[in-house]
Amino acid sequence: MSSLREIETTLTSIWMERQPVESAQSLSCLLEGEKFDADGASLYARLIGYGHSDVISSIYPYCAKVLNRNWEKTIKQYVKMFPPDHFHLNSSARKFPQFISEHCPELLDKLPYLGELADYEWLEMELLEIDTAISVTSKTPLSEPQAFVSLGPVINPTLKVRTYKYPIQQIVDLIDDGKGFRKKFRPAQSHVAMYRDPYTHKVRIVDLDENAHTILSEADRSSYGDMARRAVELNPTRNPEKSVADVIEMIEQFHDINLFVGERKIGT
Amino acid sequence: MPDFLDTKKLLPNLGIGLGLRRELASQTLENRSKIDWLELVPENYMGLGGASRERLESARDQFPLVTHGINLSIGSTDDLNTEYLSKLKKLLDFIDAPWFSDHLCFTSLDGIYMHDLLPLPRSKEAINLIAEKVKRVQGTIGRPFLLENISYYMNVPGSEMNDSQFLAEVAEKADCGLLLDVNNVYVNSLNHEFDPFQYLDQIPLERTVQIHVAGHKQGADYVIDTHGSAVVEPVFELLQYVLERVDAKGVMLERDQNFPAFEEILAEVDKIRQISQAADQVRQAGSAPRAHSAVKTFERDRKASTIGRKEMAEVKHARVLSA
Repeated sequence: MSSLREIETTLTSIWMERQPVESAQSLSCLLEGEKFDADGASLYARLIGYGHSDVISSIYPYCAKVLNRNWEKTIKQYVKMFPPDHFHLNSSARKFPQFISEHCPELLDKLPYLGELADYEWLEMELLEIDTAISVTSKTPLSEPQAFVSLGPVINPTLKVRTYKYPIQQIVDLIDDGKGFRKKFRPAQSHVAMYRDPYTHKVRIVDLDENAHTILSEADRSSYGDMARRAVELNPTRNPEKSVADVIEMIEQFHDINLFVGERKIGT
Repeated sequence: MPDFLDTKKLLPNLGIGLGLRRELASQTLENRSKIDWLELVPENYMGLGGASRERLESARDQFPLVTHGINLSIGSTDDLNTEYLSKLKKLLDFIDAPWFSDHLCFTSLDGIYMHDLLPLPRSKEAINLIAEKVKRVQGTIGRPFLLENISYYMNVPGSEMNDSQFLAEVAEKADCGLLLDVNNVYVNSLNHEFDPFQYLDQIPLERTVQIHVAGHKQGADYVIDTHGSAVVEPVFELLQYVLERVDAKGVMLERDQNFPAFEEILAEVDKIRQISQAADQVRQAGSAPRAHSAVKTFERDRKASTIGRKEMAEVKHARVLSA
C-alpha cells in the first residue's frame, strides 16, 4: 500500500508536469484493475499551470510583450527551474529576473536588456507590497537661507535606486507606446529611482540623470546647501546660479512627489 | 482547549458576510449597513504593507473580520510552516478574529507551493496526520479553527472512504469546527454523482460554524468552483437545508472574479439573509426541518464553456511615472 507521502509526491510530480500522467499507474495503492484518474490529474496540472502563468504575466507585462510568442514557454521553463517556494503567490515570481539573467542565454542574445527589464518589473512589485510605514512631515520653504544650511531631506524609506546598463525606462516607454521596442538597443547606462507613494500606495518611478543620481545617492547625509554645492561641483563649466536653481527645483519636486517625505535638522 | 462544541457556544453570531476582495473593497467598505462582517484571505495581508495594509486597517475599523487561508497545507506530509503560522497569528491578533479557517487539502510538498487546493487520499493515515496538525495549529494560534470541504476534480488513489466520511472523521478526531461550503457540496455532487443532502446528513453538521455560498461554472468535463457567477437556486436550497438544522455563526458570499454590479452582490447577500432568517424561525419554533426527500434532486447540465479559475493573487496596480 502506498504511503500518503508517496501518493502526494507522485501527484505533485504529475501536477507540476515533471512526470507523465502514466507514471501514477505504478502506485501500489491502486486496486487491481483500478485505473488512475488521468483526466482529473490533467485538469489539475492545467489549473496549476494557469495559476502560475496568470501571476507571472501580471507581474511582468513588459517582459510578456517583448517575448510575445515565447512568453508561455519561458514561464514553463522558469517554473520548472524555480518552482514556487513561498506561501505568498506573488513571491513565486521573484526569481524570474535571476532566471532570465542566468539561464536564458538565447533570449539575452536577442534581447540583452531583458534581465534588467525583469528586475525593473519585480522591483515595482516588491515596493507595492513591502511592509514599510512611510510618515510624511511638513517642510520649510527653501526661500529661507537658514533652511539651506540647517536642514536636509528625509528620503522616502521605500526608495530603491537601480543603475542599469540599458535605457530601461526608455524601453518601457516605447513598449507603452506600442512602437519601436523590437529594435536593437545599445547599452546606455541609466538610473531609475522607485518608491511607494505614501498616499496612493502606487509605485512612482523617476528617471534620473547622472548628476541627479549622484546628488540623490548622497542626500541622506546632506543638507540642502550640500546638495546645491554638489550640483555646482558636478557642473564646473556651467553658471553656478543656474545649477543652484536647478537643484532647488529638483528638491521641491522631490518633496512634491513624496520621494522626500520630510526634513531633518543637520547635526541632530 | 475545551471541546470544540463547547467553544462554539461561546462564539459570536456574526450574521451575513462577504469576502473582502481588492476589486470590491471600496464598495464593500461603504456598505456597512448591508454587510455584517468580512472574511479575508490572510495570505493577501500577512507581512504586507501599502494598499493591503490600508485596506486591512479600514476593514478592521468597521467590520468584524475572520480569515480564510489557502496555504496552511494541513494535509501535506511536510511539517507545518512556522513562518506562515507566526505571520498568521500576528494577523489574527491584529484583527482579533473570533475564528479562522483553511481548507481540507494540501497545497505544498517538499517546500513547493502549487497555489491550488489539492485533494488528498481519503485514508486513515491522512486523518491521523491532519488531526495531529490541526491540534498543533489550534495550540499555536489559540483561536478556534475551522476546516472547509473543498471541491475536487479527481479521484485520488489510496482513498479508503467517501468524502463525507473523511470530513466527518477528520473533524471529530481533530476536534475542530467546520466551514461548510454548500457550493462545493453541490459541485462535487454533480461531478462525482452523489446526493448532496445525503452528504450533509453524513457529516457532523453541529460542528458547522461558518458557511460559504458561491457560484460555479460548467466546464467541458467538470463543473468548476469558480466563485465567478451568480449563486444557483439548488445551492440556496442546500443552504436552507443546513441552516434549518444547525446554528451557524456566520454565512458569507464568496465572489472572486467576473464581478457584476455591486447591487447584484448585495442582492445575493440579502437573499442569504432572508434564507437565514426563515431557517432561524424553523429552528427556534422547533418545527421539523424539511427532509431531503422533499427537495428536488439536481441534474447535471453538460453545456461546455471555458474553465475559469479562482483568483488568489493580489496583483500590482497601475504605475505612475513622474519627473
